Amino acid sequence: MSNENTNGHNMLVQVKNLKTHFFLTEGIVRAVDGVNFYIDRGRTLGVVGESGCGKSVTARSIMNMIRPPGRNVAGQVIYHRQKKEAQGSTVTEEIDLLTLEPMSAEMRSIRGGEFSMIFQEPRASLSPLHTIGTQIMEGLKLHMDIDDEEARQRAIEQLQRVNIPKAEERIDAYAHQLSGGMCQRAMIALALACQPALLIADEPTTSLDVTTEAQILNLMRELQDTFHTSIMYITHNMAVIAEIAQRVLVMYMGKDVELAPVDALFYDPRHPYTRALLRSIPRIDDEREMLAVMRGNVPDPYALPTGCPFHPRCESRLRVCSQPVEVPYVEVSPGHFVRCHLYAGGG
Amino acid sequence: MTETTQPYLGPSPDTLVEVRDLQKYFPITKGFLRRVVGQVKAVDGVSFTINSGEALGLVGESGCGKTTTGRLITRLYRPTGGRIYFRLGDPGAPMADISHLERDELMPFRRQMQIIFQDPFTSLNPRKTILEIVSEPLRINKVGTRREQEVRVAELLELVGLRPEYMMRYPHAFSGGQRQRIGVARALALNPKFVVADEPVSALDVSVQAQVLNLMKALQKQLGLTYLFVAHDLSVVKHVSDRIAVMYVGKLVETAQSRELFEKPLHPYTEALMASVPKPDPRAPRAKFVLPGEVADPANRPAGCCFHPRCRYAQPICSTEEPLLREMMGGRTVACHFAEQLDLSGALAPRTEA
Repeated sequence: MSNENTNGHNMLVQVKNLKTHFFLTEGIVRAVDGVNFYIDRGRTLGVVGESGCGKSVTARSIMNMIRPPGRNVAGQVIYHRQKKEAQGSTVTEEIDLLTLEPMSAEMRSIRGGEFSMIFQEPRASLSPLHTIGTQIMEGLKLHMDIDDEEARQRAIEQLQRVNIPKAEERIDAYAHQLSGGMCQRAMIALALACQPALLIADEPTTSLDVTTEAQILNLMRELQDTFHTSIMYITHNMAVIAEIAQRVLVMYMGKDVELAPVDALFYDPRHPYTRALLRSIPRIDDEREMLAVMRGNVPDPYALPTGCPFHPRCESRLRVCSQPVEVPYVEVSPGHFVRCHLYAGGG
Repeated sequence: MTETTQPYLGPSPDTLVEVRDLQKYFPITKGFLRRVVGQVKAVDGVSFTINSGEALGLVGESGCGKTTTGRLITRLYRPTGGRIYFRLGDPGAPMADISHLERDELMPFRRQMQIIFQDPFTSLNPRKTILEIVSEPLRINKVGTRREQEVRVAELLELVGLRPEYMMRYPHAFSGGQRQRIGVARALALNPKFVVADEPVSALDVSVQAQVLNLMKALQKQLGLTYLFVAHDLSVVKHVSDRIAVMYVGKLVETAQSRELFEKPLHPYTEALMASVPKPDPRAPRAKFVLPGEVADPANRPAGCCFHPRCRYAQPICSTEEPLLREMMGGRTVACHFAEQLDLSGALAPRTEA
């Protein structure tokens, strides 16, 4: 599998050395500072990290949605776009999305058409002034060549597909008339309306109750099985990652600290941050009186520690970790990457 | 306000808090004249007790009334009906009915019951220093001189793991976890017996949650505190609670010792809630079922058992007759017609006796 990946066989999106910085009067915030990963076709990449680690900015960079004072200062977002030829065979072309103008026609057709996104607050990301149906139909008409009648029919189908009961009536509902769970379903229907190749989900269940969260996770798995959509699932919740992802990227202060298959991440985590994170989550089957604690706090983004940003909180730090040198990025086993001095010898 | 002249001694000498048939209805108003057109029954007939030194976890989904219950007990809200008893004195001393006391009558009780809020970013006044924030309960209750208050604040900051030198700083200088520690310090300023913690870690980063949970547990031991721990996250609740009460749409559906609840829930809602919690283990089997439907509307509750539209064990009686909370073996309580017949599975395998 890893061979396939490195050959680019199965990849949909490949992010190489992405750097997105924000130039503010208070200083430069290096929100994303050298991140590498790839998203496989039809699979789910989980992106996990604490607030301020750069996971949402990474998502926006893929969508080429960074606006001043933010800027993509380096790196590539390569989209392996598949196109059907007239003879029925498919060809793959590679586009570096960051070379496209954010508002160019091509980027706009990719954004919303081939790549779509859902957010944490479904009610905040739906328009309060338009019905759910109008919003889905707008997307459909923008990216497909269809008339009102057909768009409405498709919108109803979409709502049924995400298990919204009485879709023929709910299509004319406004966001405030639906519950949080229903809004998120409507959001998913909207995002999947054009059958995108990639769905970026930024904490889509964080504001929902656990029983609703379980419903939405189930729904996303089902839809992925049906449409082979690739999903980039961003969350701070390790348990959700374990449920939905096949591959996981762990981020800390703008860095990609670990990238691994989900099983390896939970059963053989290599980066001290990943290890500490996994130890510190309360588990139901946990009999410990006190939880293992990660010391210290998430650092100030304006005053990042030199060297590895995790070194002040790290239990295994070496002298080199605080030095202003590049932290080695090592493939410790096929498809399992770690950015840490501990593995400088190759793991 | 007590109707009888005889002092009320509570169900047991160790009971610190007792609520009986607690109700809180919020009116729904409409139009210019704010005509009352309905009631949101946020809390509707909740009864439980909390023993001295115990941590009672109160869980449920949004809108189930858990926060309202916490605010009623601390009398931030006035109950619509029911009673709240609090024991001010030593174990065995009479319990006082505080459900309808007025502001000044509540003063001695308020010193003994404090609250920690969910969001440490909005619960600390950004224009006040940490010294002012943490010493506010002392100033309101006129405890000590300014100098003594400062000493007490230093002591409190140390207790929650912050450097006393920080007391002249403002909240913006602190991270989420540190702010929540400040919230804890403020709650403990008057040496209360009873603390209501309303989702104290849900706004914090994962790596910081464990720090605050450990701190709360350590403080409970050190100071002999009694907690009502309100949260939606079952694994967090299990970590801190001795006993757990589960709420659904304003009603209590089940109470049990923490371990027993996780080994063998008696109410179908508790079972479904546990099955829905994602497990941090990619090798764990997927949940056997997903609870369908949505939480009922507390302004328009289904007849009978309000969980029946979503319950996979529902029988005709469930949609007509409301099950009462009744006592089961081992001091557990449950509100389900079929609690004895059902064999529900929990999130933990039952401990095998060696």
